Amino acid sequence: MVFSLSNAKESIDFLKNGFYASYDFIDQRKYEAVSALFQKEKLFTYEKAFRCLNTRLSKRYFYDILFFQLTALDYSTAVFPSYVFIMAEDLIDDWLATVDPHKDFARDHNVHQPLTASIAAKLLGYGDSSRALKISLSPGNLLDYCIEKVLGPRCASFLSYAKDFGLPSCYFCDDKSKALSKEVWKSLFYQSVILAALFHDMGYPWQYVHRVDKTLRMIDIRKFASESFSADIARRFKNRLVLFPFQSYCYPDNQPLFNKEEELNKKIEIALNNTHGFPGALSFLSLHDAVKTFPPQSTYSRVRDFSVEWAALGILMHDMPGIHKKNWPDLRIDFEKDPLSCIISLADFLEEFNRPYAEFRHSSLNKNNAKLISYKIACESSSISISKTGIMTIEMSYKDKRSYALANDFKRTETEDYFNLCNGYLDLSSIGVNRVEFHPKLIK
Amino acid sequence: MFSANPSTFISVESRKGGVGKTTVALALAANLIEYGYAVLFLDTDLVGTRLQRDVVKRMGVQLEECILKGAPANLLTLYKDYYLKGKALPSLFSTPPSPNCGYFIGSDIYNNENKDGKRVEAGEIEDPRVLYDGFHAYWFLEFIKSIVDSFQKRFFDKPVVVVLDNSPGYSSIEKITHDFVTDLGINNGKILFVSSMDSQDVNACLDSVQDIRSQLQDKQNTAFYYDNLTKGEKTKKPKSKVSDLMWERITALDEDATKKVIDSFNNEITLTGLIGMVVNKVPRRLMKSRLDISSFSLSKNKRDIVSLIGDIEWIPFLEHASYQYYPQILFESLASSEDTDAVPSRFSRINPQEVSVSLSRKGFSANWMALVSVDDEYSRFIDSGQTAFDGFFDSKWSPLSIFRDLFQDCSDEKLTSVGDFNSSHDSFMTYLNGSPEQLSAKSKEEEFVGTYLISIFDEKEKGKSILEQFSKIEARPVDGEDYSGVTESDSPATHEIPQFERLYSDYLSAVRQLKNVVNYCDALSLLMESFSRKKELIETLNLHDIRHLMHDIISTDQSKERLDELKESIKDEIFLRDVRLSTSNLLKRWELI
Repeated sequence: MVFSLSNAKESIDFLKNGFYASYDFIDQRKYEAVSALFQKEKLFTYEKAFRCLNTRLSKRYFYDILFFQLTALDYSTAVFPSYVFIMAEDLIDDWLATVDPHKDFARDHNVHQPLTASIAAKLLGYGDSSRALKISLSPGNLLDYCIEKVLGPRCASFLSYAKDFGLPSCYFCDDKSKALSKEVWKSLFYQSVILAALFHDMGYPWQYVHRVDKTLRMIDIRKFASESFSADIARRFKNRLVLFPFQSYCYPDNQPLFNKEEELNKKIEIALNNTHGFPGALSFLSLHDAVKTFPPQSTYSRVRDFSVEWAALGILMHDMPGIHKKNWPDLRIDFEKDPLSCIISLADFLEEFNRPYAEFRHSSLNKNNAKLISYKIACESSSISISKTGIMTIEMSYKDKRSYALANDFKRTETEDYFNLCNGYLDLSSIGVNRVEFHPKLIK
Repeated sequence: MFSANPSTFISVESRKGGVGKTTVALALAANLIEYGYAVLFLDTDLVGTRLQRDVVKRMGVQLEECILKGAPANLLTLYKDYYLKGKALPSLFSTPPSPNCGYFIGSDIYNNENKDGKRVEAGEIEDPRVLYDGFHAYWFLEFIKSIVDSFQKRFFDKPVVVVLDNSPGYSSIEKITHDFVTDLGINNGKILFVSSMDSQDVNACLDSVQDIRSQLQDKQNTAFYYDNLTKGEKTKKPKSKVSDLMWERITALDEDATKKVIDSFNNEITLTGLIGMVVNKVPRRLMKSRLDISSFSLSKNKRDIVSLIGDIEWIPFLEHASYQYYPQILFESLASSEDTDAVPSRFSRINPQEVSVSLSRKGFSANWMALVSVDDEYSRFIDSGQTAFDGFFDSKWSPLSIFRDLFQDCSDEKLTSVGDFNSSHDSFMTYLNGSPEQLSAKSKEEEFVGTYLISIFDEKEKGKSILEQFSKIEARPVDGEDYSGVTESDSPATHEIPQFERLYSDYLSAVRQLKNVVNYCDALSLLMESFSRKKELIETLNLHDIRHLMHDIISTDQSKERLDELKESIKDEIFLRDVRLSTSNLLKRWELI
């Protein structure tokens, strides 16, 4: 299965959505209030943001951004309407990062997120089992396998949470109508994966703030995410899916999710201070809460709501390898207990193509010794395949030697962190993978 | 969604502006009121001209305007100030309710005020967000549903029909309405497309028909798929965006509701029951034999779509009513086309004597879409002294030409259904109280007579001369009676007798016709006054009155306004007859009447 920009552009049609969707889950009063606030504060509009980007970026990169962002916006109108309120800031933030001459690793989430969504969609066969990634274990493809796991014993807590959340009865059929349950979960799973992939890096600016904060802490000025702040978050998001991993994915007997408050607060503090996934997931949920109806008006909106909750879990878990390695070894995820996060993490890992980097060089003509910046694309395409003997091969093609060398170093380490069979973040043994090989390639 | 709303929704749409959408929608409402429905007419043409009370009245539709705080209610204001702010909607329908059970609510973006308290100007308008913003379109429809609910409560003992007069084009409102209407199913949801004869316009409408068809098909397939799964059978899952969304909705319902949805899609879907199409402003000449709409399509498969819609209603335009396409250009292009063997005639069902040439595809579409302002064209023809403006405005007018035309047309099959002119009073009265079927027989006559009358009005001076002729010949008694009253100079010379006889014969026919004309004319004017007075006048009219009335109309300066008024009312009335006939056919097909 090969992933590349042209590939993604062709297949990104899956994101396009019409206005057929029901917006029962949005409270028009809340939505209008947020709109009015935006107008009052004169925050950036996305038209203006696009104009700025158009001025500063190369044509090709700009149109990539435009294409993917508009497609993402179109999709989000139906599934995550509050996106419209952050899009402009998001674009501007990325623009600032992209043109910042002091960083050679430019930020590119505006394209990276939709491309990750396209990879996740392709891995899952665009919701069609017959087109999903083939695996050696029964039922033979990744999508059906994930659904089996969602309905399997290790996701029992998750299912009881879903039941309590108010999902309709067809999600919990037995025997004869089991096929129906599988189908409805398949749709919900696919939608949630796409949603999570589209917004998985939205907490990135937070991480940047945290870096500054870390520097400040060195000179003992203040602490960014304090204990009381963590306790506040624990209180606000208690009994929500996003805090499941902090409790080892347990939801026993409908009891309150957390009983060890101190331990939870500590974990929240670590996640807040070291990842962009957790702040991203919290922002994602908060934004949704700002516009959604409460209490929910219909069962239909409960399904949509649940999709957002589930996507938030994916956003949180895509960025945990770091703290898994350093602070939290039991955070390891596998397809049996959290298939959605596994797909997001895998797609995020695979999305290397079309990521730009800035190259700086001196101009011989310029007497002021100013630097010239040019943007280049490092990786052209990536691919994944699983052999019958359980070897997963990830290939990435690079155009220039610098990127190739970096990939050999940085990406190899990352592969190890992610896929090490003993202690890697992503335990792929559950899908029959017993070895992961990473092959960077230098192409002309 | 999927709620069993007993109201019937009719969404009147067009892909192009100015095709007569509001007129058709009003005609639908008029027919429905006549058949005892409680009708709520909503002007959802948000960027168009606000539907005015006097327009509704002039069109003879018994709709009452909804009033809010002493002023006409505005849909957009209600939406913004009440619905979006979460306030309960105010009472809109008068107490006691209107006897005709018909209400309309207009909408006007320009009536809103901006931040400075000034009227919103074009360019700084915010509200059309509803037209392109999915949420707002969805909420707008929800808001309309809440108005309909309160209407339904007011007229709980009557069948309720909601007529949505949409904006031209394909905005979010149409998109969301299609979704809603296809969910309602063919019993409660109808979509009526109004198109002009512009091939691009027709094709755009047919494309929309195709979209709706696939929407329905997708929904049906998804419902079947769901049904099969619950029975433990697995078939292939339909793949499309509509299917996915339908799937989401259907799986969110409880068992009973799901069963209901599946049942509603279980019946064979007939587009005829759901979609209607009206082609408006068709030149009279082309109406002589019915047109085949598939001949307008640029692609062959459109024919299939047409067969799915069933018969399409055609509404002719009155030459004097405003229109955007100048048919003469079409005929010229037809006549001048040299590429005769390129494709078969697109007017295969038109009388071959009228259009005997074939057209090239290119030539056809290029000329067909030419937009010409009729007023300019008319002035140009008159100024240049050209006379070959056949069929529309006859510049070779003469008193006799009226009679000639009258006779010609009387002998034409057009008027055969009218019957004896002497009984026209009765038939006119029938017309006034008549059903659409009866209108059918009368409409042709009236259109003809109206045209004739207008041509007199348009030629005042010449009109005077015909009156003079009337004066001369009126005194002549029927054969065998005294010639008294005729002055010597007026008395025809012997050698002129054959001509006189002919004139007299003409006169008798003309009088018969004129009596009809004036009755009609007066009746139309009195439509705006009172029925009883009109009846009385019609009954007491005689030749003297006719002459007097015409004299008044033609020679008195003061009558100019009245003349204009009459002309307008004649145009409107004749047009409305046609529209009502066509729309009533549609309503019959939909089994609403």
